[in-house]
Amino acid sequence: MIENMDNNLQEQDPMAQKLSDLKEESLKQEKQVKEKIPVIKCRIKFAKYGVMKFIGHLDIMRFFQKVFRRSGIDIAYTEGFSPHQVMSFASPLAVGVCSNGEYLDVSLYSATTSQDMIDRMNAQSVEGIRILSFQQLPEKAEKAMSAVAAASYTVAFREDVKVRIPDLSKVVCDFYAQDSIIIEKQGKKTVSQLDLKEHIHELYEKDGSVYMLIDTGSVTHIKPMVIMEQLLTFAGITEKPEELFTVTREDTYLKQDDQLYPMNAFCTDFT
Amino acid sequence: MRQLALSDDILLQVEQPARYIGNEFNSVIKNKEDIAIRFAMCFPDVYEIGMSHLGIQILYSLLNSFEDTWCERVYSPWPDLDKIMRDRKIPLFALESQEPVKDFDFLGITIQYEMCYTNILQILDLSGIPLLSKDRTKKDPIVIGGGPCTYNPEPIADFFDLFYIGEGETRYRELLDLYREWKNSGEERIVFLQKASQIPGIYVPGFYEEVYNEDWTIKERKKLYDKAPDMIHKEIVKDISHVHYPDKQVVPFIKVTQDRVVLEIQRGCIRGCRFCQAGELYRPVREKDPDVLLENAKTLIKNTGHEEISLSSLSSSDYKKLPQLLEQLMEFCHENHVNISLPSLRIDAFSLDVMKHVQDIKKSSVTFAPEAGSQRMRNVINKGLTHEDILNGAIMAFRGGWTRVKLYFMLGLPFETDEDIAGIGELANDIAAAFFDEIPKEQRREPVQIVASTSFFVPKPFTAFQWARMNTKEEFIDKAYKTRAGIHAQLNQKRIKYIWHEADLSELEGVLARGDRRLNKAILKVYESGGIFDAWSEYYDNERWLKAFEECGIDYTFYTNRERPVDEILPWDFLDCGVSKEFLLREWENARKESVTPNCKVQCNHCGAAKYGCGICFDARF
Ligand code: SF4
Ligand code: SF4
Repeated sequence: MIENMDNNLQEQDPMAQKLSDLKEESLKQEKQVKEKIPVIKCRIKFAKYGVMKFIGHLDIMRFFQKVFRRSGIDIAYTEGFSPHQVMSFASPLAVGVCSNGEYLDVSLYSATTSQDMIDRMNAQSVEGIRILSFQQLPEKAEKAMSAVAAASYTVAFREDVKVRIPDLSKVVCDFYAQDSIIIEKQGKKTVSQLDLKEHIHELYEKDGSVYMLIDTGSVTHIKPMVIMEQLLTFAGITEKPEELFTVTREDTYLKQDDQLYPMNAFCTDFT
Repeated sequence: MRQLALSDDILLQVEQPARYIGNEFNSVIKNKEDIAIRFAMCFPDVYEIGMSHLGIQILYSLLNSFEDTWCERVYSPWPDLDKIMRDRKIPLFALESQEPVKDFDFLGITIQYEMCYTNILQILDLSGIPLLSKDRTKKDPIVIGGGPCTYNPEPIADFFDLFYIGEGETRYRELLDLYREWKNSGEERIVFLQKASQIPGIYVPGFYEEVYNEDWTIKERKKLYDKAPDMIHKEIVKDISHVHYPDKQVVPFIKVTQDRVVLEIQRGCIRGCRFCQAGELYRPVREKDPDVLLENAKTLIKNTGHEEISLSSLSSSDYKKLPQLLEQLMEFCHENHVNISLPSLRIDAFSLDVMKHVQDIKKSSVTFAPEAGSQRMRNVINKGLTHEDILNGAIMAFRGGWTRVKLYFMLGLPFETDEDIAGIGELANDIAAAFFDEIPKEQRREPVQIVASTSFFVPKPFTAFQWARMNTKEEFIDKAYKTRAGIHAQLNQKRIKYIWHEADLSELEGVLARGDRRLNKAILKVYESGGIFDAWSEYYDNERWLKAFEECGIDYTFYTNRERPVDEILPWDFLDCGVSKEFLLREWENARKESVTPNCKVQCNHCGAAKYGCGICFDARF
């Protein structure tokens, strides 16, 4: 009650004592963070499928924060009033797209084994998000977000549409065999030209679908549908690619010495 | 994997597809074959609002704790999806199984505010359930309503088969058992309703009829089924520490209004502010054992992974063992990187000290709810907060480093005069002045900011003001202008911001809150002419309501713009919420006399709620 507040102010009641202890404790901890408690950098690979494809990137981040808390993984926090986990996702996935190769970097204070951490996370996950690997990142590795260089995709015909490309294998082959695949890019003021061919590392037909490995990330970001649009024009089909295909990201890649490697290529298991 | 009710195309086309796919962590999937009762629990508003409601989480968990029952959730499809579902004739579905609500045994609807009434019709209609109870057959789910608005269910009586009056934890098992027995019998729907009417707290509106006088007042209530009870008594949990509490709360993917663990520390409020319905409905105050609470908190944080926990109650500062609870909770939360949020704390030395530890002073503000500008008016409404309390609290907050103050007031309270309204500006000014007087220049981190906001007072059933005349829209707006002028006349007016809410919505809320059965027709008309999501100002269409009233021959001002004589039959007189009419009358007189009634902790005022044999009425006073 308000009437008591003056008493409260004067008396050093046990609660106030406790509170100031806590405050000291937290100051101490903040200092520790500033002095940098050593953390272990990790990279997690996961798949996103089923109904989870409707959950947007930011909400997937929130989802992971809660999975870490529930699974009791010893994840590192920032300092301050609302401590939060530091996470870096490789490449945001558009709503509606499934993936077999998503990556996420986190820092831990301590780790158990890879398998244990994978199991613990999967036990706290939902249908549609599955942890595939949980590994240690080399000390000098670039953060997932900035390391991304390319991604591979499978573009499949939707089951509910009838349009198919006859002799798909050959069409894709001929399309990719062109000297250049020029598209116009609308900039802020000017229109520039871009040769898609330079950004396609692999492109072929596979089991009735189109498989591609293309540049992704901060330098050049090519969307699979942009390639499909050109392919459809090449094949003389007028429908929009969004109406015909579904996209699955198969894996995400980083570049080292001009070579592409899966994002977890240089990671090691916790044993 | 579950088959979704909506196609990918639709889901990619609507805003926030996550509202409709279910699959959230801790949502309950059961095997249909093992289930005798399918229960759809609905909050008739958008997912983000509905998912934030603690009551639903409690009932969801309770019903799913029964082996023979599967409870699923349903929310209102947002207008974008609403249109698609109508165009393509897609029936409304429950989130977990994605199966049509129409095939369920029960559709439970929680009714938290009057402005959701048209959304109730949207839910029924999209489900393909006849809107009127009398048109339903044995194939249709039993439609049952609960929540605060059921304390005057008459304006929506035609749409429900049953209302559950009171706290949900007590009678559902009995009701479900009765249902199972009836379902397997060859008996008509009405037989189930007849039997259900014998369960305490269950109200079957179809068994009663209102008869009216020439002057539109109610003449009498007639019973259409002779065994139906004359009075329906509210149900209440006596031992709130040991009643079912969810140990898992469903964790949404998208941000919702309450994105945190909600820990209910007590039910009810000791204060008895005369305008406040919640303060009467949930009497008597029952505090939960702090040890149980701490256990609940730990389990819930662990099982949800939420990064924040919020203590929930009408007035947390009145919880007796708050220091003990907070001390332990803060320790646990600190270790686990969990934030604590403490709404409804009264500002004093203790709460400021706690707040300093749990929030960032630079980003937060201190809140006072004096509700009225003058002391005289605060006595009328029995708000035991003095000018001095507020000023002292504000000064302490300023010294502690806070610079932002929020003030909540109501306009249009009974017996209000221009001086009372002027008091709002004066109080805000005094607080700003106190900042400049008390805080030396060099210690001012930033200039003081005061936000005064006013809402318009809507009289509610089962309060001392249930007889009061409500202001008209014009009066409301006039008072808002006076408040603004009053603030502008102050020395520190530059430091005070004024916000007020729309008057149209308040007026309609007033009609629906104290209306009778004749309003059913009008609500139906509004719905049929396209009204949904009335609680959302972008969808609210005042004209539509006025037109519906006119077409139904209803002078809506009958429900708002007159003081009701104390001997008039009120539409909700057949309900017993625990607080006696004599007590409310006494309080109505005390308001007129500007006389303050002490709170339940100071003395018992014999409101009637002691008959439940629990809570504050039997606690030792100090
Ligand atoms: S303090 Fe007053 S307004 Fe708040 S819940 Fe209690 S009775 Fe209602
Ligand atoms: S009976 Fe007395 S103590 Fe109990 S709720 Fe009513 S006024 Fe308060």
